Amino acid sequence: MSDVASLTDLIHRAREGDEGALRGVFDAAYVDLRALASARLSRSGRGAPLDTTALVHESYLRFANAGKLAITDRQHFMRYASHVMRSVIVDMVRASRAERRGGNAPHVTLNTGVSNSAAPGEEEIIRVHEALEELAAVDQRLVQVVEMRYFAGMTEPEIASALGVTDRTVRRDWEKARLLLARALQ
Amino acid sequence: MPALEIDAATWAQLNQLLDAALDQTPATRGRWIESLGPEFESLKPQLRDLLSREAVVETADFLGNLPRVDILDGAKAPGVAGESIGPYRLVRELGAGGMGAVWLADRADGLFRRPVALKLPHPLGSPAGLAERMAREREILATLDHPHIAKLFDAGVTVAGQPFLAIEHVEGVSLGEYCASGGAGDRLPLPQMLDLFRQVADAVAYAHGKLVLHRDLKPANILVDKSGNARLLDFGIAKLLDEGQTRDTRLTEISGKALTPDYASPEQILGEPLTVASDVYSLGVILFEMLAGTRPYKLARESRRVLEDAILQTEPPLPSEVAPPRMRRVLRGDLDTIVMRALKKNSAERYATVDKFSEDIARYLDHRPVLAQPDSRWYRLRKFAARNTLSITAASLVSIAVLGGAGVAIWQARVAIAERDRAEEIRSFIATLFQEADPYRQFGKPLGAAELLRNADADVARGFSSRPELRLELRGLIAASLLGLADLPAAEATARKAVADSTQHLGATSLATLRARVVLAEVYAARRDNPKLRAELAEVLPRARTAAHEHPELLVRALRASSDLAIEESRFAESLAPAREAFELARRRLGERDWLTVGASTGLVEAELFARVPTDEQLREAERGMRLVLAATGGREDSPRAIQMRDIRVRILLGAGDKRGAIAENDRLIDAATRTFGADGIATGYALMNCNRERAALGDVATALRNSNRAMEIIGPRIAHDSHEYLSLLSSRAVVRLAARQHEAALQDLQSAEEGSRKLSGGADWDTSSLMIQRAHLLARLGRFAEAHSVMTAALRNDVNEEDLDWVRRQEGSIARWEGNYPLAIAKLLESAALGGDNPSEASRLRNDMELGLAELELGDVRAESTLLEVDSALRKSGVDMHPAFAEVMTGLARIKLAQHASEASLPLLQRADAFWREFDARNRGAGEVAYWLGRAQLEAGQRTAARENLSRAVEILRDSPLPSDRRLVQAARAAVG
Repeated sequence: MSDVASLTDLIHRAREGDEGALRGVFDAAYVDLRALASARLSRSGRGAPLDTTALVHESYLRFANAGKLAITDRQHFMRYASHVMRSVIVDMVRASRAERRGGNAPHVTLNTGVSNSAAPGEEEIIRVHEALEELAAVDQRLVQVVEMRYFAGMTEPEIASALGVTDRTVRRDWEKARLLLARALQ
Repeated sequence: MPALEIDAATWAQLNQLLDAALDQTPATRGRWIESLGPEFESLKPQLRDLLSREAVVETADFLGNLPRVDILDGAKAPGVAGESIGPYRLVRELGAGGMGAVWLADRADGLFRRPVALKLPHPLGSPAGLAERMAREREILATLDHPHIAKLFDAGVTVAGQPFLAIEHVEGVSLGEYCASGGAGDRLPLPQMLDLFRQVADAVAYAHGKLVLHRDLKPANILVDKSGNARLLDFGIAKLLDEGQTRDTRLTEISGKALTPDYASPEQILGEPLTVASDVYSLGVILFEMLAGTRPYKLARESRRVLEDAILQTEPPLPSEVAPPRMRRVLRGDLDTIVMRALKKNSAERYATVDKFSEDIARYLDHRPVLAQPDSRWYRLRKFAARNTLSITAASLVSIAVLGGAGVAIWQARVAIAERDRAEEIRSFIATLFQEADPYRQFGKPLGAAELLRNADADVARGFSSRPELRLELRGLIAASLLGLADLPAAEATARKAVADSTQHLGATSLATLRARVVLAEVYAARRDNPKLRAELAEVLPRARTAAHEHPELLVRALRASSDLAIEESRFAESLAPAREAFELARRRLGERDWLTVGASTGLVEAELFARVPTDEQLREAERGMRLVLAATGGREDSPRAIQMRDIRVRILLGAGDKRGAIAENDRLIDAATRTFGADGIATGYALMNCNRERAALGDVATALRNSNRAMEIIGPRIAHDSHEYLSLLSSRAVVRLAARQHEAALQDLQSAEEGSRKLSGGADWDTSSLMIQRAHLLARLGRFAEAHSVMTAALRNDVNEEDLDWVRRQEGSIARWEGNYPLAIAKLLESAALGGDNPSEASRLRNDMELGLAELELGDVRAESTLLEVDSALRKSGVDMHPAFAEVMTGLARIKLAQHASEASLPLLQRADAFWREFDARNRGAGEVAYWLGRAQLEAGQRTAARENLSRAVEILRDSPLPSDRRLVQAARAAVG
């Protein structure tokens, strides 16, 4: 129970701009979000799309119900959740790449003409991530939109609600962000 | 690659403009942007660029979905214990990863006892052709049999489509892990680490010898077993070296993408054809990581592109800069150098072979110098030694400096004229080995290529064991190239091997054997091994004549060797016929542009030089030689061959006594050498050594001095100080310094030269003696007579070269004169004149007469005037500029006039000598002597003030002179001034 209590506290402190608290939220929700991100990664592009928002919301509710979080904290949580998912996904891709290169595990490097697939997707993810790191310095909201849309897979209305802006603004932000990213990734 | 390239301020503006633009239809945006005010001018390109992407972003649903990525948790790795894969039964999983799994497996049919490591890659690639690819792997890898390479037993695809590779099971840990733990929990000590690395390098070099590149070297591919032996795994994406670089198969195309970027070379990243240099690079990264504990490129972000950009563009730090502090000191210097050489971005600048890389590490371990300095190869100059080695004109040194490169050029041309496909095959093998044999990069690091070639011979023996023709051709080329690079012992060893090899495998009368023997003859010629060369030529020449119809180049080369032999044995006249025949044959059959023809032309000019054919004939031949060189190099005046021809011209002109012509030609030589090799190039330095005595003799002592000093600056630090080149440099500068009357400085040069000469020859030879005699002369000029005598006596204890006896007597005469023993001086000088024979050189006659006249003067001998007048008029007639010796002759004549009380005749002479000295070297004792006599003449003429001034100046300059005669002048001057 103390976990939940501290989460509430962390979220509040995070809203006041406390970086350490922000990381605390990250850590506490990590297990949930990691599972979510993993599911998203392996399912994306095929089969029924995962309703990330619903799942994140579910996760939020598990904490919120126990810790009496206000409804405004939900928006906050959604933003953090998408940020966390981005980190988790990037970590997973990195780990996977390292392993594919053989890492340090002897005998397991099986690069005998068989691993030409998968790399482009990983590359795209890493490069979007890196471009966002730069974008964060000039336009924080565009970064959030991309995190929610691309990494967390949220819909435009969901993003609008999480950010407290209109659907149209989200659409426009997404459009501008994609133009910038298209150039960055060329 | 700053991906966004945008700052916050720009974005604030751009953001608003984008909003406005996106509100419009795409059709109207272009005009709208045009209409924006000038304050937006700088943003327009960005705006257009961003908007131009809209269509693609929309249609392709850019970033619409997160791409699917296989998260590798190992759960899906193929294989279950007990399962049968082909003829194998899985026993225990050794490891699993993104690429599949590795199992310990047995042969299900019990054919082998030993368990194998069975690799089961995910069959992710195109299933079509997979079996073919696996079969191919197996074929390549089965040829590799080396203690440090894990043996491949089998490879195939199961009926179900599961590919497998059965590899020797090595129980061990990866290289990285082993180095970190040292097998016993502590970091592996440096020597063991380097030994381990050399095992790996040997394995790779072995594979290269089999024409197999690894292409994916990394620590994870290297296992270290319990006894500390390294095993290389995964020559999986290897490719046959001789496959031809353009015919990349689909196999390599596919697997190329799988390579590990961390250890990939720049050319790998660029998708360029790979060579042994790429494996050298990967080994460099591995060694870097072993030594420094980290890889060369530490990246803030790890997208593949960032890493690739770093590999392509960023200069890596030195291992010592990033290593743990306690490792830094030991890495600094040689190990840093070795690693960085392997990591050069330009593959041509890396070690050209893995062997060479490994050898440098061995050098380091043995405390031998890494990247050895070139040693001097004086013996090539013997040919030009007319009297004694030290009197050799420096001209021949230019040839040596140039030939290193030219030899390679000749070699390359020979490769080009070999049968086409064979040449191709050889080239593909050798091109990688010889990247650094570029003649223009030769200087400063000439041994690189020679060392490389010595290694290449071993590679050839291994790599072409079943192809004697190719092996022999390569050996011949290697020997010829070593010859060009002046590594004669190695050239001889290789050439002998080639002859033996060829005789054994192809027969004594085969063409290949003849070819090998011609190379051997050339090596003997270069080594000045006359008896062996004579014996070899007796057999080779008739055979080459028989084969000349088909292979004229062999006869051309044999004839040239024959001409060389004649010169070597002083049968100069006989050197002409073979040289001429070689040239005519080459010109007729190979054409004027062939390098052999150009070389034969040079050989002919040299033969004419030695045979003393009339100078105009020599010059004509030299003109033609130069024309051929220019034609062959597309008119480049500054090509090494052209420089060599110019150098020969300098020698022809010197030999013909045309000092001015030689000097003018040498100035052009200096220019050309400077353009080609730079102001600090060795060849430039040797060119600056040329003609300085002649320049000094013609009066341009200042330029001679400047050139000598400059030559010393360039060459001095680069060559061994106990080499003949260095001695030659010192002794020629000593002569120039003597001409400038810089006695102390000249003495220093001679002392150094003498020490070096003693080290070289033990000191009992004529070279050392002649240096001692010159030193004795200088000691006398400095008033150190006792030393002068003992040095002279010691020098004459050795045998005196008969031909140089006149010179010795002159030196003795000069010493006696400085000492004040004028009768002895005159006796020695007269003896010298008699020994000089009927036809002494102009210069030595003048020098003798000058000494004689000055000695006679001191004795009040009436003949002094006529003797000195003769010298004076000879000097004036030859248009010599004023120089110290000339000033001394004038002073002597002026003193005679003064003794005759003809001060009006003596004054202009002394004034001229005085003006010269004031400008040339106002503090020289020569200047003091002239000032004294000028003062005396002025006293005689009643010019008391001027006289007083000059006499005081004479006292001032001569006050500290150690010479008794100078002290007498000082006393007399003081007395006259009163």
